[in-house]
Amino acid sequence: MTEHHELSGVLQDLAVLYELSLCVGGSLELKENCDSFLRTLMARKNLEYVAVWILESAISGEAVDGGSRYTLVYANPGSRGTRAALPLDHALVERLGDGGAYSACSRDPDFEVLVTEAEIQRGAFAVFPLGDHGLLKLYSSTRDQAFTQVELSKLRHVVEKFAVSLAGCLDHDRVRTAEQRRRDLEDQMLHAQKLESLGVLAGGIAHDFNNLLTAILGNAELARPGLEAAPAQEHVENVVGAASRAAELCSQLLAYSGGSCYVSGPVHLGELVEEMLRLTSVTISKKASIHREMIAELPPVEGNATHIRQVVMNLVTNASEALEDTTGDITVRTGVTRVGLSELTEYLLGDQRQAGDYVYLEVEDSGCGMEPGTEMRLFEPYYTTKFTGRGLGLAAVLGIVRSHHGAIRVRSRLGEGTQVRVLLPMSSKSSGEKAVVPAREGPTRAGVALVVDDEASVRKLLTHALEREGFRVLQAADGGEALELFQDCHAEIDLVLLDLTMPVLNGDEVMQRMRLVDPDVRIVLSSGYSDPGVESRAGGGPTAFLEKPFRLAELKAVIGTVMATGSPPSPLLESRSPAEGRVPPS
Amino acid sequence: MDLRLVTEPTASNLAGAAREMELGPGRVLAVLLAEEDRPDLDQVVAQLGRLDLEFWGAVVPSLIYGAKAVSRGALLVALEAETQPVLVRGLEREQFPDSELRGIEESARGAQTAIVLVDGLAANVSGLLSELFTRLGNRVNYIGGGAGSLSLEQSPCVFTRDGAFQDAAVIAFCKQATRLGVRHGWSHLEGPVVATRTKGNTIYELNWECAFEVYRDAVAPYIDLELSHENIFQVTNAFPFGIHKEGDEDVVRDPVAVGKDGELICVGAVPENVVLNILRGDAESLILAAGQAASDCCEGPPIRARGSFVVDCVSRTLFLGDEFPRELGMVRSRLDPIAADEPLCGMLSLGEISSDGEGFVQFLNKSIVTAVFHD
Repeated sequence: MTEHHELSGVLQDLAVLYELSLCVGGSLELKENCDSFLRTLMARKNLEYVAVWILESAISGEAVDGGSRYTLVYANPGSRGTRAALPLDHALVERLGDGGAYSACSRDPDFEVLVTEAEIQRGAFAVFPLGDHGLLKLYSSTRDQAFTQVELSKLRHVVEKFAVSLAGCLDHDRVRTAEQRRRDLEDQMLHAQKLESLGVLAGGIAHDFNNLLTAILGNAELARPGLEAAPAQEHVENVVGAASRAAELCSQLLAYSGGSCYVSGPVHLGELVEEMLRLTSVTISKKASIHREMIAELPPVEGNATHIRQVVMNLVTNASEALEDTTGDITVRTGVTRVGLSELTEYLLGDQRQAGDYVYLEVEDSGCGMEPGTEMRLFEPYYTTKFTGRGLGLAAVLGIVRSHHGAIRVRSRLGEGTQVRVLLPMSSKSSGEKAVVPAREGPTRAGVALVVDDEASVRKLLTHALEREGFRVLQAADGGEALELFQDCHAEIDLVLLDLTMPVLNGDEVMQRMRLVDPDVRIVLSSGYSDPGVESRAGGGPTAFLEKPFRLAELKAVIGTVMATGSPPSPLLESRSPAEGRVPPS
Repeated sequence: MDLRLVTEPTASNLAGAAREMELGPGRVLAVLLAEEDRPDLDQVVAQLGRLDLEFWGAVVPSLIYGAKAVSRGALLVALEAETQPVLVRGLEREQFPDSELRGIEESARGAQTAIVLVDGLAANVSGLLSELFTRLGNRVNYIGGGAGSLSLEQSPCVFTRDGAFQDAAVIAFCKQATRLGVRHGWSHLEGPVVATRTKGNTIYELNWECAFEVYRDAVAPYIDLELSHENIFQVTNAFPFGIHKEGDEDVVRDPVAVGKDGELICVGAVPENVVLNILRGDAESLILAAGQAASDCCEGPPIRARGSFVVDCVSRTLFLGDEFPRELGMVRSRLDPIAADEPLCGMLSLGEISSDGEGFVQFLNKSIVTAVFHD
């Protein structure tokens, strides 16, 4: 080689290295940085393919369970790479351990094991380490010889510089991801707070309306017997019908507020899901194929069976409606899952829960899915995407999940479907669902009843109703007045109908003090808005609970049972609705 | 290959010629219009749009037909293509909007050759080609070139059924395979010089100084005239820039104009910090290179040729002058062993596109690309 050629060769090498070195680190974005450096490398070195593999642990910045592996983070052309990951013992990686960059051409016996791309039968690879966190693979189809050691050495330093710049990109990416996660968490917390505020508001409204509805329903029912065949009868029936529908809405609102879980105990989710799938089979789309993926031996969850039934029904109904009259699948899954703190961040209410084992209920459909952003509003009361919907179904689900100390996650892709997963804490009790004594039409007997309610219309209604049952009725408009009366007359009082939510001295406190005076007193606690922990008060709970609004028949049945069974305070008696065995929660 | 030369290229004549061609399903009409006396593009689009066929095309400085340059007329070629031509816009942007290529993989399915016609004066043709290669890689061979006017005034020059566009490209995916040859015949004269400040196709600084002044000083010993803003094309046509490509000829960049601040405007992007050489050539080296490009197409096992196509840089015709027919004659004769029965057709271009067989697709200048279509 002449001196001139040597000089021009060195100049050419310097020219390429100069340009390449200035292409490195032009951006903190990994793809842009790779594009800038590697496209130039391809153009100058006449390469047809380049790829960058990075250790998973270097990408995440955390140790990876079960050992790390290499992930393909950049390939040009992107269509050529056929593998997304490489194990640490792959030949491409292992050969790097022998001392840095190496090359192999199609004539070499081990060439084939290095091929991780489509349609490569000839040419040569050069493979460089990228620090201790990755590798760079170059390919030329036109070579029938491997890259020489000198060629590899020429590129060594600039590739090292590229490796350092990639480490910077990965750091930047981790910081950005952490920041994004923090923002997401903050957004989620704000959203949860907003929903909680809405819940408080909804619960308060439902409580007040339930009191009013109790009076409306009760008075309308009291008026009925005198109106047989009278023209006003139809109007009164209309009042009862409308008030009942209003009560159902209040029930949903109260469920959303999370303030309606009066009775809880171990619930077997699997049995309950099967029961609801049987019940809903007549209402869900005939074009839906239901699939069950359920664990047989599922531990019980702590909760209220009626409310969990409502969750199952609402989720399955939503899934069915998402199919929009097309053929599709609904898959219902149950099981136990261990959820870590980072996974909990994906769940609404997850920030209020502990990491650990949860029972899950998952309903997935292959329906229309949702626009991005819709998920955030799904649980707001009165938000609906359906023409006929009220927007209370999922709001109620959220309230029930909240009152059960659970969490909920929605994943959806437009046109592909939606998956909703509910986490529920496992019950610490080993037995089956707490026995609920069914209320029956019991014998009533005349006696003295004390009616305590701050709402005059309700007090008046109860007085009328009890008097019709033969009771002599004492009335108190607040807790203080009630306690005074009870102190004076407890020996005569057979029954106390006590409102839970009253100003100054609430029903719970009144009940405790009455029990101090007479531990055996029969107390029927009623409310349109209740504290879920009412049954577990020190000193004992009520003999029965009556949810507002109630029908006179229900009142009569509860009183009958209480008077027949007598002694308080356990087991707790629940009122029942005509339709489903429960009054809508209020 | 079914092709027609329309010597009176009115919009209605083009539509009439198209009607006579076999353009049923699985075929797409390519229309190349020589810029001299060309018809109004909107009328061409309107007339062809009334026919039940897919079409695309471009205005180019001249046509090649029968191994001759044709400065007036239109060349109509029926291509075998299963999918519609793809229109890509936004080539004026520094960051090529990759959303423009959404779905390109589907359009290329089953094709073996991509024919790419771009606005040759658009700033970011290289961005398009990079993105195209990233998405399609070597699944197809690439051939094509820059459309537009030799006046170097930019105007709408590529068209499809959707209209005529500037700063755009049209890509047709052809079912037939191709053998490609790419050469230019220019060699190192001076350098290296570093393009220390560039943007797209404009070089502002060479060696950290005014690009025009550095270039002027570098070529001064080789020319008999004083280089000025007015005569620059006359000089740069003979002394283009070359960008190193290992194991191959340099990629040529043709400075075609100088701006008021001494910036050199090229056909095709010049990356910042790239090291350039100043090249020179002569008629013999260029014509030999063209012949070699054609010979490259003949290498390999026997094939059944279905047509041949040449994209030759218009600046080569200016440089070669009266010798230019010799270049096309050389190509014709070198292709004879495999494509003697196929008429040689093509275009003179403002920049050439080729992947050189399996290679990285690039926008070239002052080069000749030969392609032989085969089954």
